[in-house]
Amino acid sequence: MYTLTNVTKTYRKGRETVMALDGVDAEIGDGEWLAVQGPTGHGKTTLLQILGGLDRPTSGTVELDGSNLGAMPEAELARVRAASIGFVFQTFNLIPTLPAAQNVELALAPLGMDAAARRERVALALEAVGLTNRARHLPSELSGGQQQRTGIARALVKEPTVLLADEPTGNLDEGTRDEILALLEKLWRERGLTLVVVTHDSVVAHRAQRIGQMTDGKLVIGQTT
Amino acid sequence: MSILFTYLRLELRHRMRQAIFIAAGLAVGVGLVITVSAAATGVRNAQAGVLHGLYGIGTDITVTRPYSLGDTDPGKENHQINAGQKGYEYLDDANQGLFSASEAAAIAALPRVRAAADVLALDQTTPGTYSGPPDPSDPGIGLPVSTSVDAVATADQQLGPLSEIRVISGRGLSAADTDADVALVDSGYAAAQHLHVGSMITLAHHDVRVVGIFSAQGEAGQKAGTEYTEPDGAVPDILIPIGAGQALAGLHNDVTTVYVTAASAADVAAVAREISARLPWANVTTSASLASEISGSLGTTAKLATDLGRWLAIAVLAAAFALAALLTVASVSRRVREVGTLKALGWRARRITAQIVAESAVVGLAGALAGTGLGYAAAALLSRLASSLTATVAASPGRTEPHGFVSGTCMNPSRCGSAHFYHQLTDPGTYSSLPVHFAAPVSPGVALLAVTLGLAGALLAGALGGWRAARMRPTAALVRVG
Repeated sequence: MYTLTNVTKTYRKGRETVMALDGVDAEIGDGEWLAVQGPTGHGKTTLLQILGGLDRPTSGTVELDGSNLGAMPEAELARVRAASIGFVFQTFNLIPTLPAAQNVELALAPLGMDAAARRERVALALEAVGLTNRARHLPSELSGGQQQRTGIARALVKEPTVLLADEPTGNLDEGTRDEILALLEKLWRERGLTLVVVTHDSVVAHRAQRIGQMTDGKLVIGQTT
Repeated sequence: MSILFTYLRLELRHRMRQAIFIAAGLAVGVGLVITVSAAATGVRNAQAGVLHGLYGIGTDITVTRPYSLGDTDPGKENHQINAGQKGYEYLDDANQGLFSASEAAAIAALPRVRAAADVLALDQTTPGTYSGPPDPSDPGIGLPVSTSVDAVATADQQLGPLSEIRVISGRGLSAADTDADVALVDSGYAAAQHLHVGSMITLAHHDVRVVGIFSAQGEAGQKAGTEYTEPDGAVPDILIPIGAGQALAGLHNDVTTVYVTAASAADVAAVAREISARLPWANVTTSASLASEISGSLGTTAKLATDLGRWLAIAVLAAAFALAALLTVASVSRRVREVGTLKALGWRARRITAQIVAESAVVGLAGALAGTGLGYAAAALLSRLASSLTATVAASPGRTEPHGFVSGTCMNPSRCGSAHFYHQLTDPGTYSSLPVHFAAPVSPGVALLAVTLGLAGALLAGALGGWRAARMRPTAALVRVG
């Protein structure tokens, strides 16, 4: 699925140059669950953005199924994100003015599907996360766990091959965290997703098949758990 | 597509207060553009009406001679009748300068003159009933009554006083009437004097038959239910053929006014210059020069509409555009997380821009439509509040002074038989004050233009906001809040 070769990402911060990723080499297989752990500010989120095509490496290559994401035009990158990559965010990132169903449906807008097909997909996605009876509720009317379920439904409604989750349980209590983790695991198994979860929580990390440690921009992936 | 409309609808509902604020700003700008345009149109129409009332249809240039108090009036001496008795009755020039028919013919012969009509403006003065304290020197003399009489060329009915009237009873004057003792009388004068078609009136002690009753052209267009006030001095009480008038007043071949129509609108200025060159003493006025002299409340309204009003409308509309743009860009800046999320979901920059532009377009359309209603309402209110303005113009081209008499010492002893002879004072600076019906019509074209401007402003704001959103990097948007 993913092949990262000597990926480096630097940022200019005033007069300083910050090296977020420092020569990252990694391979993530199809259907694999990789957790990336590490302290804040050591490049975990940057790695996720590179994998999701939200940013380009300063040097090195990032290949997704043989295609170099770093060299793709922006329009093509957008198409890849729309069709193949799902994102789950720590703060859920739901549109506050849209009910849960419409938030999920937003992910299908770039795909050019007809309305009936979209509605069917949305219904299935909400059912998969157990929110069928919350479809018309605004995010403000949902609990934290329900909002994250909506976020997961939105990520999966397009039937992607990759799911990238940035601290998906970071804003949830323990009980809800476990619910979400269980849901993610269930969906991962059912759909054969390639799942990359960034987390600082060891409980979350140890649910993955492999754990990578991110330290000062360098990634060291351990053995399969 | 339905998800996009849902997104649009719910987003606007969520930001209703801001949307209303922007729409209201645009509405004020659009409404002001429409109102100012309507006012300017109304002023132009009113000015045209004033000029028509003074000038008549088809007249491009009016030529008169300034009156000098030293001018003699041989006709006066010949027609001072009942001399020595109480009061004087005479028909003379209406205290206007005279020039000869040959001089008038020279004007008509100019190459770019399409038509010219001569007029001899006269006043019939008859003794009135005295109602004041006794006059030791000449007791019993009452305030004289003045009746305006225009002796007009009858060959061209489209020029001069004949173009300003509408015959409502009897017949008009024809070319065959040039020297005939016939007359048309104004309907108001006829009513006051109990005259009808066939009545006999006395001018310079000669009997003249009334062959027709007329009303001024403006009266026909007066709004129903409102009282028509004939502009003072615009149309005389009596119209007689010029040949007959010259004979009765003893002013053979003399005229006081020549009305001129140029070959084309482009020739008016050139013809006016040629007349001035040929007759240096002449007072040559065009409708354009007269328009600039219109003062009074109509003149004030014209200045307000065209100067202050125009710039105010532009300033308000520009401010509304700027406000819409600022608020839209600020709103997009607050939606950083939302924009970043949409990009992460695979939305392209142009789709996001289209969403923001669509939101602005809806707000702009609402503002433009509200502004159109506002403009129509304000124009209607303006028409109601300013329905009767006054236009003050320097002496009517046809007459140098209004009706009526001003008592005073005789200014020209050769014309006076008594030291306390009542005489008309001639004041070259006399002004006529004309009531003008004002209406502020809204042109559909202007309304459409204003709506387009309002929409354009909103779309511009949306484009700026969309540009701001398009430039947001997905990572920058997510990093702030992730």
